[in-house]
Amino acid sequence: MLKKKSKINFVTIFALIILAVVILMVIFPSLFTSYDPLEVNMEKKLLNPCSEHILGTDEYGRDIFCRIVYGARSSVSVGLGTALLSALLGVPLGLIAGYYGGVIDNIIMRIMDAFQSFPSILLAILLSTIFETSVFSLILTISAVSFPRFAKLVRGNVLTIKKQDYVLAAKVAGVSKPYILFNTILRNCMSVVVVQFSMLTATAILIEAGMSFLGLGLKPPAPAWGSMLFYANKYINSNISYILSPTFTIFLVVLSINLLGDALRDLLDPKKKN
Amino acid sequence: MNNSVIELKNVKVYFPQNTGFKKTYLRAVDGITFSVNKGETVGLVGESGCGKSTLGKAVVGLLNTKDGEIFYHGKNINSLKKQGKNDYRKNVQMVFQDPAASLNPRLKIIDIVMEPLLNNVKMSKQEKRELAIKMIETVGLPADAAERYPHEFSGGQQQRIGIARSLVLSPEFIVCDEAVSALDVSVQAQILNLLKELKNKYSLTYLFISHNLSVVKHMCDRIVVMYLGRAVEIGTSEQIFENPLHPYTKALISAIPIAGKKERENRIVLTGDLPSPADEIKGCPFYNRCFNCDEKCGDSICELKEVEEGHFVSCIKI
Repeated sequence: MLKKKSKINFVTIFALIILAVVILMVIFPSLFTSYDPLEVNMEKKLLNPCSEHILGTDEYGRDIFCRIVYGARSSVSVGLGTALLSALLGVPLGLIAGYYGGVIDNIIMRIMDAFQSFPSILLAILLSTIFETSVFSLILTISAVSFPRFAKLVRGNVLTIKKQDYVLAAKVAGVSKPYILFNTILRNCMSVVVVQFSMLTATAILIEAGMSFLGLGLKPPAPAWGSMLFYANKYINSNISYILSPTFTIFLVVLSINLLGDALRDLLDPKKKN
Repeated sequence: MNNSVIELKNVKVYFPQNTGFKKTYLRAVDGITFSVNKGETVGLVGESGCGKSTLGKAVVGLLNTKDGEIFYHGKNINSLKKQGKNDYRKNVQMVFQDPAASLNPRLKIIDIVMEPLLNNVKMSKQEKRELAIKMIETVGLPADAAERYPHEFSGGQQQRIGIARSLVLSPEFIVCDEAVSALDVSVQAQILNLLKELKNKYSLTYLFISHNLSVVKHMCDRIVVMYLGRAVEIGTSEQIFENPLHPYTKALISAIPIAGKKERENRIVLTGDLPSPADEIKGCPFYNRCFNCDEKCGDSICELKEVEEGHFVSCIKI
């Protein structure tokens, strides 16, 4: 049988390049810009894009491109952190609930319902009054309302997979229960987990932006894409690139993460490899 | 019988059903008694839903019995200690009906065949690998199949992989649950011959579950005819095919198509429906469809009785 190499198409390459740039921004922001994201220069406030400031400056005369670059760190941390925390909580809970069923399933799922029915904005307000708003508290807030979705999705998958003959075959083969649960079944849930992970990363970045817009996000002067949107709102007439830059950045990154998730799902499926 | 590998005594497998307030049971297997001797192939035949596969799953330990006992070499499997249980699991394996569904689509063939070796044997990884590859070759696949995925194979090849997996622990007893019914007829013959060949090579014992009487005739030494979770007739292959005694067996055998004939002679066509396995049946389970019954059949309890050596029938009229 001829083995064809897996086809990585143009769209995936585009997504990979964007994400590679963003990751570089997170690790080495100084590679991209020589400005300081916190340096105030009132003489140069609200400049339109020019050769010195390619995306112009904000109301305190800070370079917008520089703030986008430095803002990547908090936005990406919130996105990936939320997806990671939700997956770590949701996937095992979903696996256990789906596999054991009965009372265990009922208890876990009702707790998930309780978490899901809690309004996220209210929770955010509550947490921001208790703790100082930080990347960590944002991750906690968004995860608290999004990990139940992970658990329910995985549980639904496990319900169908555990009845498959290959799971029975593994039982007849005397394979241990944890191995069946975390290897045989989880492996076959992986495509759902990967897609949900990438979608949640993107959603968390958007929620962070939305919360910043409501003033519940990261506090100034720390740069973050969401809070930039919130402040740029008022200067939409003086410098249009101020609001367009974070908007377009969020759009591109969210799109790339979703595209990469799709590509990963296909890559993990042996049937689609050839 | 001393040389029995698996012996079933009045085995019952019930599935609980929640219908409103009353808890009822679906009687999938309702008191079955027979034994499988060493080196034998016992066929288990019956129509869809009569509990054949359920019984097969109970024998390999996938389902718990509600009542009755399963003996492995004379020992009740429920009273086995840890060592005995491992021994039982190693020696009793299963080949599944749907070859595509019984292979994990995310694993390579080598990992699928090695799966039974994970917990059951002490060997180095390299030894396990070599053993698995040897098995893959034994069932007639090329060794380079090991690095491929299940979807790259045809149904017959997939079933060969399933057989390799069940053989890798060198068991003595294999439950073939409709092992060939999902395959093309030409491939069925290949797989059946492979199973026969392997039986001689490794001195295996089979419990061969099927609804295809021609296949059973070809494969089996003894046959158990099941109806609604019970055994209605047990006998050697010749006894069942040459001299069927139970009306249900007669009807089954008259339905076997014969090559070259348009119309089958003396075809018995059953009327009526299968009673629901959820209902409790007092008398003969075949009562409402039988062509040879009278009022007594509905009330009197019928049990298997020996009519000639090794030939058991459960019918009060015989």
